[in-house]
Amino acid sequence: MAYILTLLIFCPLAVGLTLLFFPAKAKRAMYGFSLVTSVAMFFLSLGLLTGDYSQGTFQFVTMRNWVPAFGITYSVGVDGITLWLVLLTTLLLPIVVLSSYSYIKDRIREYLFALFLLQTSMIGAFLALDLFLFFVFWELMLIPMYLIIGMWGGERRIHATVKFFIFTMVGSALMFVAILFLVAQFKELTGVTTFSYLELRRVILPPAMQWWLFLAFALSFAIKVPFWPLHTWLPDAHTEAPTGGSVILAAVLLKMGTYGFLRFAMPLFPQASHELGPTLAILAIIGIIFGSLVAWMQKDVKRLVAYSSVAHLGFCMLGLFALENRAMAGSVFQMLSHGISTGMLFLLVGVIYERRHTRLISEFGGLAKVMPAYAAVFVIVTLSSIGLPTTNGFIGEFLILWGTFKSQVLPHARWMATLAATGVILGAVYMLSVVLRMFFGSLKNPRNRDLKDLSAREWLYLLPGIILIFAMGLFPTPFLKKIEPSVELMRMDYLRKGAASLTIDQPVLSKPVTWLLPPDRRPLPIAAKPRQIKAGPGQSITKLTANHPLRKGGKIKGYRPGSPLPTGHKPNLPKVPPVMPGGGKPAKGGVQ
Amino acid sequence: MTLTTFIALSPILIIAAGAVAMIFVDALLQKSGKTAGSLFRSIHTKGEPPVDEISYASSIDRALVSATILGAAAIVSAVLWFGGQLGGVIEIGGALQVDKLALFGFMLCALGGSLASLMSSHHLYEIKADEGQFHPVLMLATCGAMLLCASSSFIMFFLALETMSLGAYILTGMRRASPRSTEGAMKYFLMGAFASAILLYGLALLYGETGVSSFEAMGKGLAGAGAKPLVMLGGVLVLVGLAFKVSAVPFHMWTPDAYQGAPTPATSFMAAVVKTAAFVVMLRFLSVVLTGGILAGPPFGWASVLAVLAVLTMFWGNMAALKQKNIKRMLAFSSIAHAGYILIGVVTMHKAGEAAMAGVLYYLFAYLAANAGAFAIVCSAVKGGSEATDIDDYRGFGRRHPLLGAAMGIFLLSMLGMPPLAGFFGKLYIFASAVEHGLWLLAVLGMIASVVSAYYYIGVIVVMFMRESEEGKPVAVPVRSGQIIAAILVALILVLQLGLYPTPWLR
Repeated sequence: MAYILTLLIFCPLAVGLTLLFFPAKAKRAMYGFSLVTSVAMFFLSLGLLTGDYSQGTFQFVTMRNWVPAFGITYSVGVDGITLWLVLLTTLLLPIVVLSSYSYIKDRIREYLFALFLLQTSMIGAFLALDLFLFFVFWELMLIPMYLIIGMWGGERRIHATVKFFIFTMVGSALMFVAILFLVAQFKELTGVTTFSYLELRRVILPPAMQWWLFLAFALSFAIKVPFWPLHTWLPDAHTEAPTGGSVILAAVLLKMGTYGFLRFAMPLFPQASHELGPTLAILAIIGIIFGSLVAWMQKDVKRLVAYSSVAHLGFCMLGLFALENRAMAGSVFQMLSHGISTGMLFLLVGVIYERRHTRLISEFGGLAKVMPAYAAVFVIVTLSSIGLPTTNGFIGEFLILWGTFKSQVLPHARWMATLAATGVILGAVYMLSVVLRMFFGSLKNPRNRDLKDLSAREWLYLLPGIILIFAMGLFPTPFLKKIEPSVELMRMDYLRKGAASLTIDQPVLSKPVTWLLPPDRRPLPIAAKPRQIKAGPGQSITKLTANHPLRKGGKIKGYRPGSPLPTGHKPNLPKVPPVMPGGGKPAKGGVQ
Repeated sequence: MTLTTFIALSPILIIAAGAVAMIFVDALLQKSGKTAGSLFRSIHTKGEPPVDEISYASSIDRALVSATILGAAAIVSAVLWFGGQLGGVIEIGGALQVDKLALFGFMLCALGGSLASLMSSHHLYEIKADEGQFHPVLMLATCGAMLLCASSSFIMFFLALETMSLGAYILTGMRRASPRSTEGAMKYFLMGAFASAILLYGLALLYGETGVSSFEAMGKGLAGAGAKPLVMLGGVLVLVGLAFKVSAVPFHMWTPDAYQGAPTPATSFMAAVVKTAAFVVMLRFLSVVLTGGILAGPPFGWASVLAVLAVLTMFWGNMAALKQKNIKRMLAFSSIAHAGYILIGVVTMHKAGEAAMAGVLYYLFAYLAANAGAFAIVCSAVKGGSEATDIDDYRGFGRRHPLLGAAMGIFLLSMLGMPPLAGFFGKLYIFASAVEHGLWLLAVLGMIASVVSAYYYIGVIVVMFMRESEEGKPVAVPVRSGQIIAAILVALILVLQLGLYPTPWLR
């Protein structure tokens, strides 16, 4: 079990490379092989559920040196947030493979190789606990997706894929420099170069510095999310991508952006993200409303679903910046349920596209008469997408709106929640109007008269999603129970670190972040012998798991924009900056 | 000459001796219809038998022999570099200094030369440029480049620079039937001659100030002299001469024409070997001679001058590459842009010293591997009997030849700086030390410039994989040659290894 994460990351790559040795004509063999291995990998990933997520710590942690001269490690770990995202990714692969069987007809070998390479990079990016490793996987993701859109896409695929590539690249270029800057700060403080996430999280930067770095990270993630107004690549990419590519793009790749905020941008630069949070929340709300309105206007059903993604991801972002436990957990939950419902919508659009080779809504009408099963599934997924109670969409949106309403950090939180809630209504409007125009009414178009209903293979890949829609909608607790501790742990650290950064004008170092690792994984095996400076969050962090607010029902009060110090959690900081300029010598507190 | 000096210089000696031997043996054997290579020919190339069997075979053999000799020299230098048996620095006659920097330079130059001759076999035959001079000239120019890497006095510096440059001019003009080649060679030669003169003038000024010719003594002398106008002028003139060789903007005018006109192996040689040697000697010159604080640091030292050059070079190179239709010309502008990234590393050296130097060398290595690989593929592709150099010729190339296409894609992505390939690690190395020493603005500009470059690198991949060739137009087909495949494989292995497991080289 110790190597389960490594297996999960590299098995797809191995499978992909094996596929390259198949003869190009062996379609059935290649699909069969991919299907069997991807299902096996899904079952392997279920092994992650055996970890202990009740404390919010990282599980199955593996740390190895990779390039010691640069402090680059191969560190991976999974916590309550990534657990579900990884499971979603592994679940989707067999579904995508199955759905591609009838869609991808040429260069199947290369297509499947790209899919498996994409799988490796996505899982790797979720699990990486080293900023270098994360960046490698983050960039690696671009290539297979770029090829999938560009080689198997629609007519304007080249425009779409180049746009996708350049947009994403712009963001990550600046993030790369920001990572290097952070690493350089750590080295200044300790004399040790490392890219380890757990080490770099110890750096507390003064707010001005945080701003710049946060902006660099946020740009990269915001493009990926995609955040209004940086979303324009998304509709193009979605429209041109083959079904399988769209499904993965919507279900997993977009989550990389929100995940990046939650895992990197917010915890590393809490004060900046606290100060910019309201602005970003407003942008998220604009995204929700704008996405919904534009979706309403679309004539192409795939483009409509793409714009609905902009709106749904807006909810996720709003939840994150509300900084309420339930909103943030709801945001993670919404990432999952958006992955499932939008992924299913793209699959369904693919089903009809394969039959009719058009996606124009006006071409359809009255489909429920010829394709009753298809219509039923479409309606179920639509209901999930618009967040009807008993479906998964409801839980996420409800938690986010509720948390935003109660948010202590967002100004005019109630108004924000109200505005965002109009997005739910708009979502119902545009989705239901599509259902109405496509499935009901009279069967006017003669070409729709003898369309075949869902085949067995299509049922097979639609069924897991349908089950999950209801399972997550009716029994959300097992999911939330694993998400919440990790989110809470991050939130507590965020508040403390943010407060601590206000009192400094030089970067300082907090104690080792052992509290993100399970007890048997301490101390960190990375060869870091920094001069530890007693500053920042102080000792209380190590006790966090014991005083877990979820257990005690504790609450941080008085954390408002004007007075960012949470009372009762005031860190024990010396008045003088504990670090002398240029050196690592502490003025007070002593070297441990 | 003691044994140690002999060992230290052995890579250069191997190549020089090989080159001379090749000239003689070739001349003697030509009468009897044999060639130097046929004496120990081992690889037979597959494919259609060419019309002129003997001249074809001799072309192949010469390439193989010279690649073997250069490769052997590269391996010897690598062994010396890794082993460190030489025990630090070896001074030879006050003119040469073989240290780690020089040995790494040796290795890169010999490797670059070796890859260039490996890819030359078919190509030279096709363009009818091989009459036995190409390879000896290439090898001797490589010798010049290696001497340049090791030179530690002004006399040697200039002699080695000229040896290398003259060879490069000749190689550029080797395609005698093509006016482009002649034009490129002429431009390269004229501007190179000016640059040499300027460099020499700068050297004379510095010599006039200090009265010594060895780098180290001059460095000491200058440190005492402070910032006199003549010293500053001398330093600037030397920098201009070097900037010409590394093709930094605004001294890059010759690059596109020379790169496009030259036979592709010679282009690869210029991009890999000439650039490497010029950068190595630049590192040595700046770190030994112009060390004084006021000469190096801001606001008027070389660091500021080079920082401006770096930014100009990155952006100009990338912008100009965007609109190129010829792949060799595009790679020429991309090589200009890469000189810009490398210059960031050189600038960092005034603060970081050796660490930045290592970054520059690593980047050169990574760039050399990817670039040689890309040129090898360009070399291998022919279109209806002539070289396929238009980017449009590569329509559907990746679809028809997935392995070669994938290799080309990997080389281009490495140049773009995509992880986990060599180019990315090179950028990491250079930018990390730049950021660490407060030059984050340069790093940001460098990353923005590399985003610009994404457009044209990706453009080639788009053409190769996502566009179909037009009906009736001749398409690029790869020639089947074991040697070119070998060159591509070596480059590919290096690109992957330097990116995924760089540890052995980080010392």
